[in-house]
Amino acid sequence: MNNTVYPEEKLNKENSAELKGKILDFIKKNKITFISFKNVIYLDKEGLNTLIELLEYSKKQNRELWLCEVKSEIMEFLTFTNLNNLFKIYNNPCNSSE
Amino acid sequence: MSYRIIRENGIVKIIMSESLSVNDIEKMKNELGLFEEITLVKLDLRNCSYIQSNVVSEIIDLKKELNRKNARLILTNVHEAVMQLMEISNLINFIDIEKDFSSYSVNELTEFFLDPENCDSASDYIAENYNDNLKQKMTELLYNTDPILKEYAILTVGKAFDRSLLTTIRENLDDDVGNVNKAAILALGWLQDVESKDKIYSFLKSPFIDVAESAAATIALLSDENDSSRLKEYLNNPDDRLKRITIRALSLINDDKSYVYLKDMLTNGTSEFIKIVLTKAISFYNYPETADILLGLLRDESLKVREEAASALIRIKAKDKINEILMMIQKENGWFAYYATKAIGGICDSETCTNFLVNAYDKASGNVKIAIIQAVGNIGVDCSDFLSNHLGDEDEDIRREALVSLFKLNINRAVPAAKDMLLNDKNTEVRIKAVEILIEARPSGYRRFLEKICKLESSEKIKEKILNAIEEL
Repeated sequence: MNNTVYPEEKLNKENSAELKGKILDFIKKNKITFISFKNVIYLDKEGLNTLIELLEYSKKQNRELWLCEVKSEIMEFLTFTNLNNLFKIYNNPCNSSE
Repeated sequence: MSYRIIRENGIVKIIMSESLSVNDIEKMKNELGLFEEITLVKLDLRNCSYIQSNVVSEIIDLKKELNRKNARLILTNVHEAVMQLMEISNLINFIDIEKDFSSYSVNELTEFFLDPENCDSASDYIAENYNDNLKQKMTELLYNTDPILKEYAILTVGKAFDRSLLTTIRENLDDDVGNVNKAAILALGWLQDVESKDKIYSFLKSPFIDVAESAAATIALLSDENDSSRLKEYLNNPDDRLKRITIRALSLINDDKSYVYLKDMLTNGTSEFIKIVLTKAISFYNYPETADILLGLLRDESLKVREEAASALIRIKAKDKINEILMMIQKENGWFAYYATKAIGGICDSETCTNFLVNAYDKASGNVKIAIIQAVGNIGVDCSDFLSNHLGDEDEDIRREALVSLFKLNINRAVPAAKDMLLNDKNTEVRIKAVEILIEARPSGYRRFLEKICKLESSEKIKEKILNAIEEL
């Protein structure tokens, strides 16, 4: 089963609401959901707050949410906000198996 | 019996008492043989502060037996002294060892907060398994006098998203210890507690830069339309570290106002360090003019800023600027052309770019020549003839980079070239690169070939490279 979401280019104010709905569906269907940052270029606080909300939801549902394929520039934002300590981050290519 | 077994689905956990003997392992093997469909055996050694050396070989034997059943063996909660024995007997490379917090009581778990090696993973474990008992313990620790216990309790409550303790976390903004303040600031950001934002602003003036940094980050997460203006004043602070974190916070807020502030700062002159930070920050704004600003920065007086601008153009995949950059490379030479070529190598994937760079090569200066060789390898369009022609160049950097790019584009031509260069090139770095390529490509008979070279080799560096690679294989 495919359990990886690939946001395209943006994870910011322009698309975070839409992405949130999509990722919520994945969380409901899978025990572990991966969000791949492979294609993400633009990230802002809306994007990060959406990720935090999704993580809280997944914990309440006893599900896991992982971030993967995080490029160094994106990682800098996660480290800046200490979200690297909140999220499970998978450094290898995203795992599509549970 | 000096152990007890807990079985859950395919996972068997064996908790040892104080000593572990050969007999214990034998008994375990027999008992495990009775279980079907085991996938994992965790041997918990938290009570064993010492094991006899003959037990070590029994553990290896147990591992082999489990492997035959397609099951894994993991040793958990291994004491330092036992770990040392395993290192001496070289067992450490053959056995998986990990921490298993599920073996500990609530009180024991929080003692790990004082252990720098395990504090973060203990906190993660508690947050993941948060229940009433753990919550009660965290609440207790939030009022503890030990600042480390308090700090980790706050972070754990934040990770567990326990909003019922929000008031207590807020109170810790008034604590005297910087790390406790920092933990509270971070947790309040994760819990999206907008009400705390005003108070968090005061920490931007903290003498501890990591506390100020966490404040800037949390303000960005909690920000509304007024926060860019409020943060602006910190761009004028004489401390470059505070400027840097403010720039990062503004770029995370990513609104029109913050963009104008950062752009103005970039235009109006600032230190090289801050200009590099600004260059990266600007690239996170998805505006049409962003790529033009970065293009302009390729001409900056600082080479470091140019390099950052080239990386940013690659990161934002500025494909619509390819023609403009190519025109610039045609007109100019030197460092500008060097960084522009690097950018092309990261952005472009078409034959047009490869052909352009190949044609520009002869007129290019030394450093640009190297950038061209690297760029064509990154673009990915096969230009093996061009690269092969430079494998014999008098400049060793060109020879080495030509081989690297050839390997990226045409492995069939790169492998014989690497063999030839390993045998005949005079430069050690070029020959080391040839070894690396042969090891990565693994052509038929390469191991014998490398062993043969190694026997005749006079360079210690090459010998070491080959021997290390063979050992890893």
